[in-house]
Amino acid sequence: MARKVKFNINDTLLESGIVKVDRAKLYGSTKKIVRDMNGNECVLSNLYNGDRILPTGSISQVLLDNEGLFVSRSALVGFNSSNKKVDKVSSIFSIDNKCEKVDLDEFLSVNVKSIYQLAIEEGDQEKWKILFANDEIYHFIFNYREDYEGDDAYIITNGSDLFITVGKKNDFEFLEQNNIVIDDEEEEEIDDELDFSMF
Amino acid sequence: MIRYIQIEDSNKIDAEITFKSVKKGNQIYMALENGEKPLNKRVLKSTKENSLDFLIGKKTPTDDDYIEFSERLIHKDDEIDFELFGKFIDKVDKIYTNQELKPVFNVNISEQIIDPKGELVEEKEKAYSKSNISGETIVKWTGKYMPKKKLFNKVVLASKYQLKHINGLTFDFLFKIAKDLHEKDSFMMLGGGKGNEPIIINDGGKPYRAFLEGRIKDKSYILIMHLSNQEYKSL
Repeated sequence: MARKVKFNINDTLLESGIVKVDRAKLYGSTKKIVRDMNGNECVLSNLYNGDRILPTGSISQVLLDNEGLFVSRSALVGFNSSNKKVDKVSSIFSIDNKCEKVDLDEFLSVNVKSIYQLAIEEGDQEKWKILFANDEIYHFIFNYREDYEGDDAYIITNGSDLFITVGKKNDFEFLEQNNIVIDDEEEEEIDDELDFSMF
Repeated sequence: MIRYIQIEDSNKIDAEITFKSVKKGNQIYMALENGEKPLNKRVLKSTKENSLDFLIGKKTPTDDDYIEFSERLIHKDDEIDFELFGKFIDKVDKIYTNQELKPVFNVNISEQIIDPKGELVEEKEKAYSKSNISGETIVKWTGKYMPKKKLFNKVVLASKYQLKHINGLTFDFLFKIAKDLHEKDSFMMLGGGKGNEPIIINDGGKPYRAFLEGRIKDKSYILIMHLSNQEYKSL
């Protein structure tokens, strides 16, 4: 049985399963296929030093300390920007997730990483509907597994279903006439998902 | 590289301005208990000559081949290159190889269309998408105002780009757009191509629907271009 997430919204305790909304499951996807002149499928490999072919998976990442000794990832702890140690953020499955009502502008500032749909039991539908009757937006900290940094998560409804939008909220800078900054920026990496097929 | 976008306003007047993606990174960094940040290094752990497929030397090995190979491993160390393995490496080049890991020099690229159930629909030549936000193409003002309160829960406004002026004239241009959208409390849907197509930010990139949001405070403004390729739809 799917694990449930507990939410505390306006002192009302509710729970629900969550299902990741994968874009490929809504619209499909594309896969790039590369073939040689005989029609045989090719694979992408690494060429090291101009003469060594390294199959996929030949390169690994390791962490080393100042003396060049191996460091296990489990030996690492989280620090904030003031160089202070921070506590781990609990998994959403292990706590009552306290939700705070936020305004639309905050929600619109978020860079979205993933979307989940709430899988609400039949008997609880009405309780949820009441809380979202006026298109309210509730924020909580989202961490699927316990670690040192959670994401911002927002519960919204599209009228029929409830969704959790997970991402990071941004701070935008108001620009005045004398704020002329011409930013240098790298182009983003391109992936091979299906073209947009909505509207 | 400085990135430009050519955008028009409600009067069909266009201007070239800059834009920047807005993305907050992680606020927490990982370090050892004493605060020392470890170095991240790439290390070589295998080569073609030491890969399982190469050492067995058969396309479809049988169980007997694997057993024979296991015996060989006990007596020889073919699977390890003592000179190379564990070596720190920096840059590698990407190349296409065949299944035998031999370089391939001429390739045909196609794309498979997979439906939501994971079934192959078709395979066709891969089309190359060209950026349509600057140069000869202008990002069009479609005239479709969409109230913020109606759109925010219909489409996933996934990534954000802040549009920025480059001089006094473009400040006035963008401030007026932001003021218009702020007062109407609405997004403006932007269009590529003839005006009804999605926009493509980078050559070879994905198409997105773009929605412009404006906020003003006294004599300052924020113009955010939201990109979306997904709706809030249940599975």
